Amino acid sequence: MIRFEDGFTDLPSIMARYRRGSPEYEVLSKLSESSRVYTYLSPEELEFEIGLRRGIIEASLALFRGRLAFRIFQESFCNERYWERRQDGGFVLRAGVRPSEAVDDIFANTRRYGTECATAIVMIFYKAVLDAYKPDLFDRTFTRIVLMNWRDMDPLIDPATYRGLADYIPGDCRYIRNPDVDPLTPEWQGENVIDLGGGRYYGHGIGLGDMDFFIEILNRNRREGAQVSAYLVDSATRPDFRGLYLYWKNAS
Amino acid sequence: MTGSPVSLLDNIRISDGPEILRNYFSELLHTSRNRLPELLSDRRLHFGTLYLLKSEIKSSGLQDTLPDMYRRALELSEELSGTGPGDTRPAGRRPGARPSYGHRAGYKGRNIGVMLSDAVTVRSLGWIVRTGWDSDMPEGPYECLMERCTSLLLAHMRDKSFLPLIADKIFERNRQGRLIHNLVWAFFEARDRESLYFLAHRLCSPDMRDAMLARKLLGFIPGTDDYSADSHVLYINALGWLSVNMPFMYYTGESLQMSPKPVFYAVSYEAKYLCRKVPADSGRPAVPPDKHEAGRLECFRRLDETQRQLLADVSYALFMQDKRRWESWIRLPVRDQLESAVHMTGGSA
Repeated sequence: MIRFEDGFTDLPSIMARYRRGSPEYEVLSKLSESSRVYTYLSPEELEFEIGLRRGIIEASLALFRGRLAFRIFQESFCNERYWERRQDGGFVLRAGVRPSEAVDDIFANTRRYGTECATAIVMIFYKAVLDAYKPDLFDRTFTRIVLMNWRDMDPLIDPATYRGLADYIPGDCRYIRNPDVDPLTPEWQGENVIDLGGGRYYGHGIGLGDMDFFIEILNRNRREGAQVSAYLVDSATRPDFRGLYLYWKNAS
Repeated sequence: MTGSPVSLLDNIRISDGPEILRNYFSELLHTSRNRLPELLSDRRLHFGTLYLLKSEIKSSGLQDTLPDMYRRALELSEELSGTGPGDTRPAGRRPGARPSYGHRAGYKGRNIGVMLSDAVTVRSLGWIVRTGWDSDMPEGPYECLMERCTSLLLAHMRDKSFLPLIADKIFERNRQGRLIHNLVWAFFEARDRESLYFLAHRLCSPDMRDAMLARKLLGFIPGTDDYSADSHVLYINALGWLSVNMPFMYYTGESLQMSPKPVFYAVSYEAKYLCRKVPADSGRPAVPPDKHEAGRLECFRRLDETQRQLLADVSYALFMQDKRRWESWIRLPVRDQLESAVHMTGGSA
């Protein structure tokens, strides 16, 4: 169930703003029907999180449509006008470049970028935050951006992995582990996917599909004689929705 | 040539770089070709040097003069460098399934089992990994090849003898800002709990980069996220925690790819409560619990996490102190066990 600390109780009025079947509606339904209590400071905080989750989904679809290339770190590439490729295969925002323009460039000129799946999720998180914050606030807030797996992310976004959750909802980053992966292709050890709602997921380097689709693809990249199937891990990685909301609210 | 710890060819590579090495080699080919088999057979030779001279060795037909191990290493460097497409074909006719764009590229298709049944291949792999992680070597394809060889030894063969070396390389490369993700993955895939000590001693490293990485890799040990703690105290506490929990720890399969703060190992509190060792692979005892143990576990599972941890800790502490007393204690109803555990720990539940 959803509880508001400011005493607001008219959840149906919030739900009425979203189309039945939309990811936003699915998020609200799952949270409100859960046996767990989800506490928000106000309806505004809930709507901010829903908006950010929507942004994560939109950014995932944009990367898919833009045909972001899959590359292992040793072969990663980026638009050098905005990003500097680091020795470890990550990308760092170039000095003197507007952070919002650099993030937007990934989605406008997607074919000029190639990386692996966790870094794609990091790109998605930054884009969703940019769309929520708008360029001015984003530029003031994120002056140093590193796109390298989960490493060196801005402490405000501060993604954390939650294990054994009661509910998984659209906009979550899930992980499919491939325990019997071919040791010669560790890039198939697992796949970070974004829950798009409606039982569909986006995973960079594989595409869009239901969970069976992803598991089947990962299973095809196991070692000879593999016995154990790839499986969805009981966890989700989420940005710090509350921290991002409070910062946005105070800055607005 | 004896006496020096470095072979002549390695020395040239390390001091003057790959180009001078290749020039020197080409010059010898024309002036003293007879010397080359001896130089290439030097048992101190590092794989990186052989790799850099691969084209010259092949074009001059010298590969047949190489010792078996070195010749096989050169063959492996080609076999394991292939980049065929990974398999991302659409999964049947499931609704919503469609091919992806930006297909993953990657090596695929070798029968590893057959390859590793050959003793020379295994020796060659060992030599490649022991000598090939030199920091002056180029990144890109060479680094991929090294990762693959290391994965074969650690993730597939689970050869624990390479773990100290790979731990060193992980920290060294981290200091240099180089890629470590796949090395870390291979290190943990060896599923060797004892290897955690190779990481733990870096908790008190004077180099902050080492200490921070050690904290991250050992994030499952309580206290490693307390940045105000004295590093030596943290180290001692970590060693203590590892030695108490080691028999009950299991590899979770988490990785730096999966999570910003992966939990690489977890403690099976059920196993600790029953004082039954578990394999690092599964976290489940090799022999299933008997009827009485299963009954106890059923009650144990109904407790909340804090209570389960408390009972597990107290049970094992009692077991180590006084096995007879433990045997009576473990037969008590869980409620009584909990009460006595709270009492024994000074009411810390």
